[in-house]
Parts: sequence; structure tokens; C-alpha cells
Amino acid sequence: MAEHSVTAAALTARHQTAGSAASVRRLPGFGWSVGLIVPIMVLLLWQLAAGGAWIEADLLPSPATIAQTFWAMVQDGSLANDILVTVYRLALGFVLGTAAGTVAGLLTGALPLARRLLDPTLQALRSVPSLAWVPLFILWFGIYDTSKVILIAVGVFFPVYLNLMAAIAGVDRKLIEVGRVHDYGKLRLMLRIQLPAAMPLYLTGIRGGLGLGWMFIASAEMMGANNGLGFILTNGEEIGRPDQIIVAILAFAVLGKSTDWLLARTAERLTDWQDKLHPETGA
Amino acid sequence: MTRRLDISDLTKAFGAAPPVLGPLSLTLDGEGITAIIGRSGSGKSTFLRCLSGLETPTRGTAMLGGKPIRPAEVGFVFQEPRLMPWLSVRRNIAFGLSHLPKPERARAVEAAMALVGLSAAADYLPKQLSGGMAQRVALARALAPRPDLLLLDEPLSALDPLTRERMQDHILHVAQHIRVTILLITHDMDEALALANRVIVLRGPPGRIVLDVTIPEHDPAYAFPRDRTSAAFQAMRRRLIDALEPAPVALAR
Ligand SMILES: Nc1ncnc2c1ncn2[C@@H]1O[C@H](COP(=O)(O)OP(=O)(O)O)[C@@H](O)[C@H]1O
Ligand SMILES: [Mg+2]
Repeated sequence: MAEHSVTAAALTARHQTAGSAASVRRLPGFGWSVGLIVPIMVLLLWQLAAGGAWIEADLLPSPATIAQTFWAMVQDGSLANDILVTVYRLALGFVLGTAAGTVAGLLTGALPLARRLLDPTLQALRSVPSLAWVPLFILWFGIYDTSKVILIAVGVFFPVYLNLMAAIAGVDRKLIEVGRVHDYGKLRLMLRIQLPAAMPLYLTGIRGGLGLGWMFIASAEMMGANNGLGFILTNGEEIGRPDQIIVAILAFAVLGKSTDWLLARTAERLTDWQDKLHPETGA
Repeated sequence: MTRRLDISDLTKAFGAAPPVLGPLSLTLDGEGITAIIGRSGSGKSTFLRCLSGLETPTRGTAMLGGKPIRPAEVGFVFQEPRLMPWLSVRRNIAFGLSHLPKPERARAVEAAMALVGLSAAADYLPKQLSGGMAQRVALARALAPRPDLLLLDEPLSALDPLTRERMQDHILHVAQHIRVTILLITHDMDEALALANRVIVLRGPPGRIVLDVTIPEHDPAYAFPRDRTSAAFQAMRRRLIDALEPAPVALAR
């Protein structure tokens, strides 16, 4: 089922962009693998270049070296450990940020007064770069997990807050009127019309929040941590191990992409009532 | 018997602007369809919205059975279906029934679906419906709470001509099978003549009644389904057109 819909999405995407869509469509199951062609070519060229010593191994190790490092980090358990630490911090920060963003978005979306009071301040805080918070949070919450979790929560908060506020305030007046002719009070309008109608945009906000969460955790762990994927990055720089850095980067990429994919799938299932031409997932 | 609807001196102005409706007085007694026709902008929607509680009249009253109209007594169908896209047909129809216990709610939904011929589509989502089906769901949603007064604001004007005729049959069917006073807004006088036993022509702004004709109930010339080619039908049509046209004499009023 999952396989099938991803294939369909990939095919549709190709159909929109490339003239060769017809030939791809005739090969069911092949569509999704098209995205692998470029990375594999790059890997091959890279390996050739490294083998021929065209690039310095001290700066850019060969794919084979990276694979060895990866395997070593898997075997001594350090990679799994650092991934767990990072995912744990991210999960905490994500839950915290989503909860706070949901409360703030509900309040400001439903009550114009709350929006006039809160939104200008929150908008101002939103433009503070993520790294600028780090010294303050370390001072306030210490060098350990708390400061990192809070930083991630800040990153997650804004997309969730902004999207939910916009979604609730922007619910179609025509649907609200249907509630009003059925004698719905404010609370029932909120529960039975505004919240469900806001769901797609809210989920988009949560997805955006998760993406920012991954950005922020890299910042957090690069400034004063002794474990986690971000620590592998700074540590790799200190001990001169680009292979180790690249393994961490790849781990970030894979984790970020797969958690986003999971969220997108969930969101799509929750809002499959939408009358959309193409699913968003899988692309 | 249905309860009597008494509208007296109903007037609506938006803000400081001159009134768009009224003063308008009207009494509806009994079942059947009263059609209101008028050009675009003549205040027809404003009139229905004042009756439903969506707008508050600036002056005047609307009473049902001697008391101010309560929202629970009114069913409303808009020009667009306005279904909740996340709810199935069944749950859309149950939208105004949350005060009922479950078994009764289910029964009311089934009855409303049967009335408009939707039983087979109960579990569809709105995105799977045609325009005509969606509008029938909206009709069933308005009927499910068993209103005394059914307000239809150009419910057919967004439909294609063939679907529109079938929808007209559905509305006629409803009028003949349940006790409800129906006010139908349309800008199509053939539609008004095909369905109504009373036709009111509104002209404005500010919207006022310029013609109010009751169609002779027992005259065979107007038996349902009405023969649109008959001389009586055509003569009545002529009267409505004359009332709609802002003729110089009428303007001088
Ligand atoms: N909410 C509103 N605010 C201001 N003017 C309105 C509003 N609703 C309707 N009007 C005005 O009232 C007049 C009558 O509108 P309406 O009742 O919708 O006419 P109809 O349904 O006959 O086409 C129009 O001139 C319209 O611009
Ligand atoms: Mg109108």
C-alpha cells in the first residue's frame, strides 16, 4: 500500500516535469528508484577521484573510508548511542514546543484580544537567530540537556504557533455560518468546525516545526555537549576526522528525512478528506 | 398545521448605510412553498438571513407561532452546499442533531437521507459527491432537525440545468411529504412558478414587496407537475416579469 502510493507520487512528479514520463510509467516499481541515480553517480565519481588521489584524503576521505568509519561506529555502539541521545533531546523539545505552540495558536487564533496582546512580542522573538539563544539558555538552564531541549522547543514553537493561529483565524466564514444556523455556541463552533478545518495547516506547522527542531538541535549540540550527533561534528573537527563528520551529517539527513516522512504520512491520513489533486508525501 | 410566520416592518441596514431591506411585512400561514424572486442585490438573502438569526434586523420583528423565531426552528440551505469536508454524508446530516440521543439521531439521519434519496451515499465524503448530491446533503442536513421553517437561499442556482430540474423535484417532494413552511429564494421565475403556491416579488434596495400572488390551489391549470407551456402559466410568468422590470410607472410610486 505504502509502496504503491509512493510510486504513484513519484510517477506523477515525473509526469509533471519530464517528457520521459511515459517510459517510466511503463515500468511499475521503478519510479521511486530514479531518485537514487544522482547520489550513486556522485559516489562512484568520488570513489574514483579518491582512489586516483586527485583529492586529499585528509580533507575529503573516500566513500570506502567513510563506510569503514561508519561500520566501526556501529560496531562499538557509539553511533547508536549518539543517535539515541539526539533523538531523545529532539523528542522532548518537539513535544514541549508543539504543546506551547498549540496553546498559543489556539488562544491567539480564537481570541482577537489575545492576538493583539501576544502576537507582536512573539513575532519579535521569532526573528532572533537560533544560535543567539544558546549562551542565555546555558546560563539559565545549565550546560546539560535542559538548555538544549528548550532551544529545540523554541525552534518547534514558531511554525506550530503561526500556522495554527492563521488556520483558526482564517476558517471559512461560510462554514462558521452553518454552525450558527444550527445554534452552535462559541465552544462548539471551535470544536466542531474551526479545529477540524484548521487541521491541515496545523499539521503543516508541526512538520515545519520538526524540521526546525533538527536545525536547532545541531546548533545546541555543537555548543557544549559531550554526546549526540552534534557533538560528533565538533569532535570530528577537533581531532581532524572528516569521515566522522560526514557520517554524522548523513545520520542527520537520514533521520530528518525519515521523521518528516513519517509525519507527512500521518498528516495525510488524518486529512485525507481534503480534495487535493496530488498527495504531498514521498516527494 | 404548521405555525404561522408573522413578519412585520422588518428592516435591515448595514452600519450607517441606507437600508438594504424593508420595511417589509408578510404573513405565511400553512405548508407549501413560497417563492421570493427579485434581481440580484434586491435584498433577498438579507431577508432570509434576518429570519435565520444570521443577521440582526435593524427594526421590525419576525415571529413564529406568536414568539420570536428560535434557530432550532429554522432550517437553512445556502447557495453552496457548505458541507464539512471532513465529515461523511451521514455525519454532515447529523450536524444539527447533537442534542439528540444516539439512536434517535441515527433515525433522524436515516429519515432525512431517505427523503432526498441519499441513503446509498451515506458513507461518502463530500469530495466524492456531485454538485447536485452535495446540495441534497445540505437539504437533508437542514431537514433532519425537523424545522418548522425551511429557508432556501437560491439553492439551485449553482447547479447545471438538468441537475437543477431533478433538485426541483426533490424540493417539491419534501414540500409534499413533510410539514414545513418553505421560503425559497430564486431569481428564476420559471422555477418559482414550477414549485410555489405563492410567489412574492422583491425589488430594491431597499428590498420591498412589489407583487404577492397566491397561485390558485385547486385550479387544474396549476396542478403538479405544472405544465410550463400552458396559457395560465405563461400569463402568470408575464405578471412576474412586469413586476421585476423597473418600469417608469412603478418607479414613480
Ligand atoms: N454584510 C453586509 N454588509 C454590507 N452590505 C451588505 C451585506 N450583505 C449584503 N449587503 C448589501 O445588501 C444588498 C442586498 O444584498 P443581498 O441581500 O445579498 O441581495 P440578493 O440576495 O437579493 O442578491 C446589496 O447591495 C449588498 O451589497
Ligand atoms: Mg443572494
